[in-house]
Amino acid sequence: MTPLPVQALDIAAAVVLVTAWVSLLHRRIEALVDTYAIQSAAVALTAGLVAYEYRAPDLYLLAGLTVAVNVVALPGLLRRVVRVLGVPRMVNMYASVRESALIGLALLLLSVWVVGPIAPFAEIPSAGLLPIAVAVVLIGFFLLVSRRKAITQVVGLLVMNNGVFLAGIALTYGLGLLVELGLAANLLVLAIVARIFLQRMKESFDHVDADALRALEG
Amino acid sequence: MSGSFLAPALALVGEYLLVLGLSPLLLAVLRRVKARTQGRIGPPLLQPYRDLWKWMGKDGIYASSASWITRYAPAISFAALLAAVPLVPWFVLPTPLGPFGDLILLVGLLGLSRFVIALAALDGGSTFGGMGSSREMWMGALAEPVFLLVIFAFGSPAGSTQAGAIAARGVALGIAYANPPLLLAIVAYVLLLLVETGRLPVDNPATHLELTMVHEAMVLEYTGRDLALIEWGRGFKLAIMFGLLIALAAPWGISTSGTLLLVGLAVGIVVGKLLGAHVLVGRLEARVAKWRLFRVADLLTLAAVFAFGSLALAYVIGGGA
Amino acid sequence: MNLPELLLLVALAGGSAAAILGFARPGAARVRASFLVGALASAVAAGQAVLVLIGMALPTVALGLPGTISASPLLALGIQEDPLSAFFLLVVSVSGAAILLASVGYTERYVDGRRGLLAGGMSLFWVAMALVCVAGTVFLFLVAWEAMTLISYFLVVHDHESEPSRRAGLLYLVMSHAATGAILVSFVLLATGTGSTSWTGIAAGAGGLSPGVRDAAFLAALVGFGTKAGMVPFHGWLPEAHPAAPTNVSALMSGVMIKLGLFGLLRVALDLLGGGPSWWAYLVLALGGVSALGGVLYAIAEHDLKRLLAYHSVENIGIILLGVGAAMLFQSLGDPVLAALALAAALLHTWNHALFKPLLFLGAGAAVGETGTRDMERMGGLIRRMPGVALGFFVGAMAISALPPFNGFVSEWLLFQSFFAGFTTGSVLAEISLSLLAGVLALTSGLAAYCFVKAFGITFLARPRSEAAARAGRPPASLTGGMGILAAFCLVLGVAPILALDLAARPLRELTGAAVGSGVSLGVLSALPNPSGGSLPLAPAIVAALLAGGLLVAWIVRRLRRAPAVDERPLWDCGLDAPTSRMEYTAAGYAQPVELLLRDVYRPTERAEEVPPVRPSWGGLARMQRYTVVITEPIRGWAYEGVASGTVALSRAISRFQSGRIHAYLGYIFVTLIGLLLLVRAVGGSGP
Repeated sequence: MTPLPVQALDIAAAVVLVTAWVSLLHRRIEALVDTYAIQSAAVALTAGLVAYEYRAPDLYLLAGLTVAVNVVALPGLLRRVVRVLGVPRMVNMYASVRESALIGLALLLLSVWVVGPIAPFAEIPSAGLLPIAVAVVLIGFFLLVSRRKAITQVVGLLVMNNGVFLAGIALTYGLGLLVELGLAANLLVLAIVARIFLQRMKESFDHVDADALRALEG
Repeated sequence: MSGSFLAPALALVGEYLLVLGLSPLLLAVLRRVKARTQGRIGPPLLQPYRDLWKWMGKDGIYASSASWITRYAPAISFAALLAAVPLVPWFVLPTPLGPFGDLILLVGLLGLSRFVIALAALDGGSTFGGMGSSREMWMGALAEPVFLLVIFAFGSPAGSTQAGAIAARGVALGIAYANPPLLLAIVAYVLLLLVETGRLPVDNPATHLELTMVHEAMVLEYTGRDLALIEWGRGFKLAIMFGLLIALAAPWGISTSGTLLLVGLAVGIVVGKLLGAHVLVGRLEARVAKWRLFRVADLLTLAAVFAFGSLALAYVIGGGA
Repeated sequence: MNLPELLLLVALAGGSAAAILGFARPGAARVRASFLVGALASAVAAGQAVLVLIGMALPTVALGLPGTISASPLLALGIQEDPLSAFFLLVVSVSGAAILLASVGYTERYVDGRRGLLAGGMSLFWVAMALVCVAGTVFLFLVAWEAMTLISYFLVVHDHESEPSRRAGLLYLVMSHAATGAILVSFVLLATGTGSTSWTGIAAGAGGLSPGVRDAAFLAALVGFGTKAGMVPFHGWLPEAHPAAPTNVSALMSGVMIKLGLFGLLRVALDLLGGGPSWWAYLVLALGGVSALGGVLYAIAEHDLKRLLAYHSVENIGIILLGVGAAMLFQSLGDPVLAALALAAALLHTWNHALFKPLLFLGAGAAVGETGTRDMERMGGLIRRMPGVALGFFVGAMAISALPPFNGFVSEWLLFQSFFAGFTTGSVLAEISLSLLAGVLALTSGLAAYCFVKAFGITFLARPRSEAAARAGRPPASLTGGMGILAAFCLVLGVAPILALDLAARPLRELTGAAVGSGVSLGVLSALPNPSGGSLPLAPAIVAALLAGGLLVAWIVRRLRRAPAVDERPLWDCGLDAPTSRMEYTAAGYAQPVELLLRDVYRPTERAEEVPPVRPSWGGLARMQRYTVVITEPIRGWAYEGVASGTVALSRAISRFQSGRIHAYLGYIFVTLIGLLLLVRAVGGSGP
């Protein structure tokens, strides 16, 4: 009989996997960002549960940080980018939704097959956590590869980040180093988003300019 | 349960009465919640009952190009859906039907109901009917593998394709029943449910816009007692799909003993859960727009992925859903 | 000579007499007599098979040993009827009797001489098929097999004035002979390896064969018998030959003859070789899955009613192969109980298909015969012109779509149960492939339902789509009667499949070694062992009772209030002109959602061309276009273009790698990563 928090942990991890798959379905950027926010909340919950069950207080910090940055700040920022800069709201893809979904399944099967045998060596006695984490990393990577726009690629990167985080928790239940790594990764993503934000802003204003000039012609 | 035939027979009758009586109310709750969420008042809760009564007394009319298929299809569809009722564990376990039917049979009966209505839609020769029929059978064909995989995902840990056995395992395990494979299977089932019951974003039961309707297009030619049978049957289908969701995802509360008091309590619990589920779907439906027909294939592919993923995770975690 | 032997002799002699009667002098009465005698002989054979299956046996004499010259003429011929033979003889004979009976009326369109040839040929065809079933030695089997092929070839080209008929016949003949060659190879390998030419002798010695010989014999048999059965990718002849033949011949070929390919496969793989390694099973499963899905997909795209049914034969052979493959898989994993379950599904579906496919073909024959076209788009409204035929086709459509309470549902249900039981085998590969195939099977049966709503709806319902359909005559009573027999069997085996399973119990026991009991109890499928204990959770009789109860409730609901008036009016017309049959949904339109979804599979050739408007006065206002879609099977292109286009495609694919896009390069990294993960896993550590 697995202890209750571990069971809850498993389920939270499964929510992360579900949201990773669902993110392959979306064709509107806002919906993709919302799904990412839910996924991050599930990741934070996982961290919190591990902190509770294994008495690792520094993980509470990490969970709180995840909520602040990955659930609130980053999605907010991304939504703003979409809204303010008028990025067309559709996700452009190299693979159709159906192909993406099937590839998503294949990635889970792959990670189950690859990681399954070493899962028992993880610190957390949950056989599901590690394969799910690896699958989420791969799905994030796939999102990064298969979606055209910079902003959707950022979401892909963020999904990968969530997967890495989950894997870290599973393997070491997040000691000091991981906190730093998590922070660093988040900062990196923040920097990328800010960069895109700036660039798009520049492009948009250029566009506005050009349109205004053209309007004068008539 | 006592060894006699009496208790299961009574429970069976109770299940039929519950579904026959409750399904119009559930539909009304759904419509009402949807209306309220959209800032309308919505029809009164007894409206579906009044509609059914009105249709039963209404004169019938058939297209002169239609054959006996049109006349008998509503009754066959109604009978098939009604026959599926005892395949779902409603409030007692073991289910009164015992080992005589399972979820694959449920899929078959839903298929039978769809098949005859889809034929009736072609029978008159109206273009709308053909369009609805083609779309409905298309969705049904794509939904069938998902349904089977979902059954496999829920059933594999219980070693049975019977809803009763799966629910009994859930009741026995208590909270330990919940695990990641179960979660994935539930998500897959919910996506499937939207398609099977023709709710938004897959089909809009409230529309009569030619280009978008699916189910409505099939039954456009019907009125009177046939329409009553079709609409009531549709209510069963909704109740069956939701009842199955409840029995598979959260079976707690189904009575496993035969005492009258506990069974009564279980009836109350299942009614409460059904109402709750309909309120949720009503609120959801008020917010989403209908999708293009071909996105339904995306939705079902994703559902299949979830169901298959559930089987794969069950393998890693051991024990399964 | 005991009773079964006598009956078999009577049946074979009766069939031959019927053939002579048909071939002799022309005359309507003689032809009718020929068909009736053939049907009677067939019915006697069916009864004989039942006797054998419930336990009576032909006298057994060891063949080929010195000093055992049998007094029995049958055994001297090399006839041996074990339970497997008897089961297939039953399948062949029940449908054979119904088809021969239906042919009395159906063939009235032919002048007497031609009709006599058809009558004699069909009876002789049946005799050859029965002989294939009961042949006990390689020689007799091959002779009967070759006779069956030749006779069926002549029946296919019965309408030899038509060029397509002759072409289809030639294709059939060539492919059948290639198949016979493969079968010959298989038997030569077995016979030389074991030093015996009788089934019993080969089965006894097959254990001593080297694995290489066993593999070769199995593969040759799979190709040879698979071709006859219409298994993808050896099915090429089937969609050509079935539509070309007279429809009652199609019914006999599609419903009955192709089953003998399965019989041969079962005989070699399970009986003679006694099962094999698991890769045999996976091969059969894969071919079955491809046949099932491919068959139904091309059936959907097909609007020629007979070709549509022919593709459904490919589909159903695929479904049966899934059962056979699962049985072989379970046997290789050492689980005879599960093997018996899967094989029961396969055998039951074999019989079921032999019942509903002729039913559908006879219905199609009536429709095609009375309208003079095979194009569904030119039929419509036939339900009023031929109500009995329409009812029969309706039953067949529900049975083939695996809907309760008909027989197709029960066999597919059993197959799903055996796949589901795959979770108890403990083999990961088995679990994954069986659950995947369960999805394939479910998709197949869903698409079959889709296809048959189209086939029945467009052919029989709504208003007639052509003059010919509006003037269609009523088909003869014997045709409806033959269909009625088949439809009754579909319903009976759907409500009480235990009758068929009881008859299948002995072959199941012999082929799998599982303890398959028999006995009817409450209509539950109790004869088969349930892997998880208890009885299998389906009681078809109770399902039928529930449905009847539901109909009763519907009847009550309809009578809750005073009976209202019922009226008939023309179809609602949206306030425009009265709708015509031109406005009805077409078969092409009906199939369009699937074709659109699976464009990458179908790869249709589309063409749009400008045509002059219907009325010249529209000239300036309206333009008309004709749009045509042609869907052909990819396999036709392969043989010619495969090599040439493959080379070009390869070089194109290689040049595409250098695209200069960041995504492409990220993609390479991704693929490399996956490859590395696979490599790491494959090299280190053993599999889960």
